[in-house]
Amino acid sequence: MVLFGASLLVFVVLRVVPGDPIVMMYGTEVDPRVVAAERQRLGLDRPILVQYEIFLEHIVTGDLGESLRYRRSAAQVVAEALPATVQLAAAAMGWAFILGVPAGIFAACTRGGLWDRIVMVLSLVGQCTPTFWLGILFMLLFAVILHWLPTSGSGTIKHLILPSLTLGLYMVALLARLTRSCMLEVLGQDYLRTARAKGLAEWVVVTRHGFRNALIPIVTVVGLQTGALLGGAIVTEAVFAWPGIGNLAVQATNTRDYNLVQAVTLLSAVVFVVINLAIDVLYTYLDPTVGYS
Amino acid sequence: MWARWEFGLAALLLFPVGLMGLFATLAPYDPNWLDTAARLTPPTMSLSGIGRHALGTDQLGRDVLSRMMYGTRISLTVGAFSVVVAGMLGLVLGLIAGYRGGWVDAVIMRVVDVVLSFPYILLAISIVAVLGASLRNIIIVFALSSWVVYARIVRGAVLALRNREYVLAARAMGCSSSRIVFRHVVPNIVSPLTVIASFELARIIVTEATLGFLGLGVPPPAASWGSMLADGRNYIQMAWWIGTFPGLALTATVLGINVFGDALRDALDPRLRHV
Repeated sequence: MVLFGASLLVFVVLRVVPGDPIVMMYGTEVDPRVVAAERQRLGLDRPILVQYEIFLEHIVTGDLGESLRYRRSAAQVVAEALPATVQLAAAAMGWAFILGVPAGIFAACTRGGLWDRIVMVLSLVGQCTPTFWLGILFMLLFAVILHWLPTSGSGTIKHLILPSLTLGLYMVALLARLTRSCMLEVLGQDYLRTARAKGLAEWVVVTRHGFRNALIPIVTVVGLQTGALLGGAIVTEAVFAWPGIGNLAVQATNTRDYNLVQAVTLLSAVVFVVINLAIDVLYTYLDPTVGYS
Repeated sequence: MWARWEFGLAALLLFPVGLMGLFATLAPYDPNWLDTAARLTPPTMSLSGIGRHALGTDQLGRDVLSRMMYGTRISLTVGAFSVVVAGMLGLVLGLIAGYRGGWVDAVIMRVVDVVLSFPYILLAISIVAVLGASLRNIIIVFALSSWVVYARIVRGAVLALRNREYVLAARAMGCSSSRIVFRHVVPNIVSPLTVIASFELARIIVTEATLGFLGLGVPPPAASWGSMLADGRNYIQMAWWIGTFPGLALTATVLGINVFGDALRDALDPRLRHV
């Protein structure tokens, strides 16, 4: 239902665009007959409703139209750029878990102490710093001043570090704060006291009993943030010239490449909805008290 | 309530930014004046006082400090107007959806869901592609993508309050719907709305800068922080100051607003923690 609405929105928004894509492709000094022929070929001269109907038919069969700029199937263009973005997002998530969760656990366990304060302040700043500025700062520090890492492009692990860290830092901060508050809630519970009374080692108490229960809201939030991750990816890819779908979307918008923008936007909406569904399912699995009739 | 230290911190962060915006016309240089003899000069703050260009110049010879001050105006203007418009739109639609219920509610909520299913930036980019980039259009862009947040909360609050005793009593007394809404419902949702509005303001300011960075914001030669950051990125190897200072201003602003929002939320009602 939502997807239907999303596709409608995308279609309408893009069709209202004042710029004529054919003219954009060919420039203004072109033979009008060529323009007309091209328009007919791409089906842009049919009535709007017919266009939409064809659009829907095509989606169902997986055909997202032809990218007006690349002259290839839009779906294909998107598919080629997708792995780069997925790689970036996965690495960012990786950072988030590697840095954020332990920081949160640590802060919760040393509650009120200096480390706790430091973690909290750093994560607040991390959440508020705009992604692209962070990227520029990292670039400045690690690439220009220290010459440890390359400034842009892709290809090796070294190229992946900065962009993924930039994209992931927001998540690191978010996870740190979230893990900390969830752990704090959990650490005071009675069943942990029982575990301690049983004589279990402290770290077992914390990880096995405490953390597992704190995991539920963490997972939920992580899933919900995936949409934000995609948005951040657009910016990060622009800063570091990373060839993913974010970069693609910006390019496509600038060149009025309808089909491509449509394809990317649809894909994002789909991904978002699917992930939300997956989170819902995962939730019922993790927390047996939640049930769907 | 106002003595909380977070308010002090927020004020500390926001005060310089606010000053910059208010007194932008007192900037040392015209933000668009090209001092071609002094391109890419580094910041010249030294012990003997502020030099010719306190924060340096960019690749076209424009003074960074002045541009930063005018950029403050753009960011704050876009933010303030967007929040007000989006807030009003969201409030009205949320009230209608919550109070009327039925198919009106369903339709409005579907629209909300659809809009929320897009990553914020992607939505903003798409709308800019349609409308073209100008100050007025940017405000429209943010108003359109931001109202849904308010609508959701307002609707939830209305649904919760709809069956409270005082509302039922008012109805029994024969109050018209709109009177009930304004006198009884609205005052109760002002607190969460204000908190939400402050967080949205921060988000909008960041996104406006992002759009500017991507070249889709307020068009040049307007001095927006985003476009300064884009220049900064291109010249990062030779002129670190072009991008760093606007970035600092942006971060300080967002941080200040977020801290303020946090403190406001805690002060008004700790139960709102989930917001």
